[in-house]
Amino acid sequence: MNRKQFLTEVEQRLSPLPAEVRNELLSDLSQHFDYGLVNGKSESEIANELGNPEDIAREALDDPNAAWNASPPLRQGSFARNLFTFLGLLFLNLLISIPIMATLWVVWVSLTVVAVSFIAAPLLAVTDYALNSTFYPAKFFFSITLTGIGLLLLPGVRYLLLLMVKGTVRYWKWNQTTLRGAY
Amino acid sequence: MNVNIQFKKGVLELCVLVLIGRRDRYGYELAQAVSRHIEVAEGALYPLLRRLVSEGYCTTYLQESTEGPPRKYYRLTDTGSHYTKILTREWNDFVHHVASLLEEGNSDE
Repeated sequence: MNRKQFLTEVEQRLSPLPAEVRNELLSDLSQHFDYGLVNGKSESEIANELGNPEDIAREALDDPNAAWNASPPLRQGSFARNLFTFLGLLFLNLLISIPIMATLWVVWVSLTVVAVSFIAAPLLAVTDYALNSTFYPAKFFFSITLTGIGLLLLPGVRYLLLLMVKGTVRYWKWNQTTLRGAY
Repeated sequence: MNVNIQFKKGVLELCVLVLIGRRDRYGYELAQAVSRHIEVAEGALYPLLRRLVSEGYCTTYLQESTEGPPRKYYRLTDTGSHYTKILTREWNDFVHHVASLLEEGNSDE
């Protein structure tokens, strides 16, 4: 393939590009031939080194962002889309997610308080005895029962905590990725 | 074969940036310098150079030469030299990780 054939082929495939860009690339390639000839190479040798005209044209036509970058840029959406995503998340969070989450957390806190006070029940019974100096065995044994129930509640409370922390973190991350536009 | 081309295309950008960073160069000179080290279709260089200019990593200027038409030289901008540093570091990390992965595979078997 000689210089003219090579350049013609690139030019034909570059028709979607603006004339200015197309001409710049073509003159770059044409100059490459000039220098190659000065350095004692033949036109077909130079064309061979340049590679496939089709590939060059494809490179040039590729979107400048999409062509070589491995990871897509974040925030691909338009400003308006980002704004609506933000507003949507804001309403979702304020009206639904935050109240529900808060309720769940309050429930968890009260469960924990119950478990802890059940466990501490004998202590309260002893305090009661110390203050009123009357000893009711029934009261004492009931408090021990409560300790047992409290101890049984404890693993459940712990399990719930893990579940809720995981859920909250995951929800928070989902918010972030949605905002960034990387689904 | 195809995979190899993808590798080379990715590396080409870094090579070109480093070469321009050492001194200003024109297209043909760059092509020669690159193909001395990696076998690559030199034509890929020109779309790449155009992109580097449009992204502000390089600027161009014309300079008369004793032989042939004035040459279009490429010069690295400050942004370009910063970008080159980042790219170099990422490349070194990447190569290091891949090398250690391959090493690991050998010692396992």
